[in-house]
Amino acid sequence: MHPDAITRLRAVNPAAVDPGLGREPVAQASLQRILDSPPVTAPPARRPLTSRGLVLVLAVLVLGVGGALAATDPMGWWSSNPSETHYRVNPDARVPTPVAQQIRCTAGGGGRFRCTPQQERCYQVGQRAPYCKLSGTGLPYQKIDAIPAPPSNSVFSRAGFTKAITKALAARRMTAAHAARFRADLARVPDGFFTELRLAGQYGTYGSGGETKNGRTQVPPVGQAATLVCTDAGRRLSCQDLNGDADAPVGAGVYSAVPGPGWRTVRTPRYIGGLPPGVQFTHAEEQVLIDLLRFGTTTSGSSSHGVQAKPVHIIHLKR
Amino acid sequence: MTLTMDGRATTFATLYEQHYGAVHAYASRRVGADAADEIAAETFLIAWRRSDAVPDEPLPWLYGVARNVALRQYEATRRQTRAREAAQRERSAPAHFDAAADPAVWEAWDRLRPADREVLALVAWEELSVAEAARVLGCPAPQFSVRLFRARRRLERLLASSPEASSSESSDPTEA
Repeated sequence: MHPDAITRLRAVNPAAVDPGLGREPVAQASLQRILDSPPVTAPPARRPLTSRGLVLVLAVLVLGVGGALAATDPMGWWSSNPSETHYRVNPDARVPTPVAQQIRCTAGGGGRFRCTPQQERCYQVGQRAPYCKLSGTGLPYQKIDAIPAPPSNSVFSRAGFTKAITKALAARRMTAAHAARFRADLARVPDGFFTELRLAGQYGTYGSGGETKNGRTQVPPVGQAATLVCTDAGRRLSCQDLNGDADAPVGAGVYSAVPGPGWRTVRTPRYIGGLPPGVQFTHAEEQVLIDLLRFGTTTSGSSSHGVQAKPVHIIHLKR
Repeated sequence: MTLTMDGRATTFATLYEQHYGAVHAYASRRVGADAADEIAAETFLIAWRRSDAVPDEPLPWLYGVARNVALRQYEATRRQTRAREAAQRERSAPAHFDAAADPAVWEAWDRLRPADREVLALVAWEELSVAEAARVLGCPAPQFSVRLFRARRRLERLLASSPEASSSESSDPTEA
């Protein structure tokens, strides 16, 4: 008679716990490094996606750089959260943005997808409302954006911030008192802060998935990429999953999966925070970011999830 | 090594020394011994920065953090490898597993979905209760119970269908 499955699994435990491991020299050295690092008051675990990410997003807008509303979110990057897509831009790689608005894709192996542009055809019978559908086969995706270039080094610098404050004052987007407070907070951060900000600015996030309400979100079936990054490849597009892409070229098309059969409704996942490796913000540095959020004003930024206008050709059918 | 520290740091150091071994073993079982140091270090760095959020029973919370850290690192690494190596890493157990100890278990383990493996590992290897394991995964305890039941049943079916199970059944003359 075989022992039960859990018992057998327990018997082959691949790593026994060493209770004294934490007191070993290597672990103690790691502890010392942790204690030497500046403590950062992290946001609560359930902080919504827009909160800390929006700080930098609004910073970008206030500084007049523009860019997609939710494009910069260095506080959260690669994650297993099915309703978030995190990537890093390669600022040295630039490609033309594909023209295709709607595409259909089939998996090509190795995390890559073969995609072809599709036309949406609309049909109308008599006086009934037209109905539209995408031609072709494969998973449908809709273009939502192009990978934006990260803010230039000149913008994310002490001089760049100072210049932007002056500009915002002149345009009456900031009061004199706010500008003074902002300048004082800027004086308290080291130059290294701007280096980390430039690094963080290379990371981006798109909200993926379908409608979110009552704490639940629609997400694609397991194994289907929610967001693709695509470049032209002759008549087709060469695409891959944008989530986790550490090398996305500037200008590449960003395509979002269109909800359809097989999509799941899940409890809206907890936002997974954490800064990219090597990026740490102290309290004083966070204050600068909060200043941008509090004192800056937003321009009318375009949503990165808006559906772009597309030509519709209606085919009239006879009854 | 003598560490100079204030009260908060002393409390954290105690937490660290008490639970580092368990977190390191958790990481080792999932990503291998080579990466376990890094996963454990980042887990405790997050615990240090969020010391206000660490609960009185810290181990499930630490496992949850380590899980997220390991998932992030796994995704980042997977993008950089060829498809064949990525698929192999998904399917096979970490290199230090002793497949000879009970090969049928490892063969069944390989065929389980990652979600089932995680549920079973928390109970069998981390030896957590249902409530504790549910906290690691961030789901309600009843939901975890259902997932555990299903994962266990799938494992049992895989073990029952293994060649070892078939040969032992046929060779035992005392069984009716």
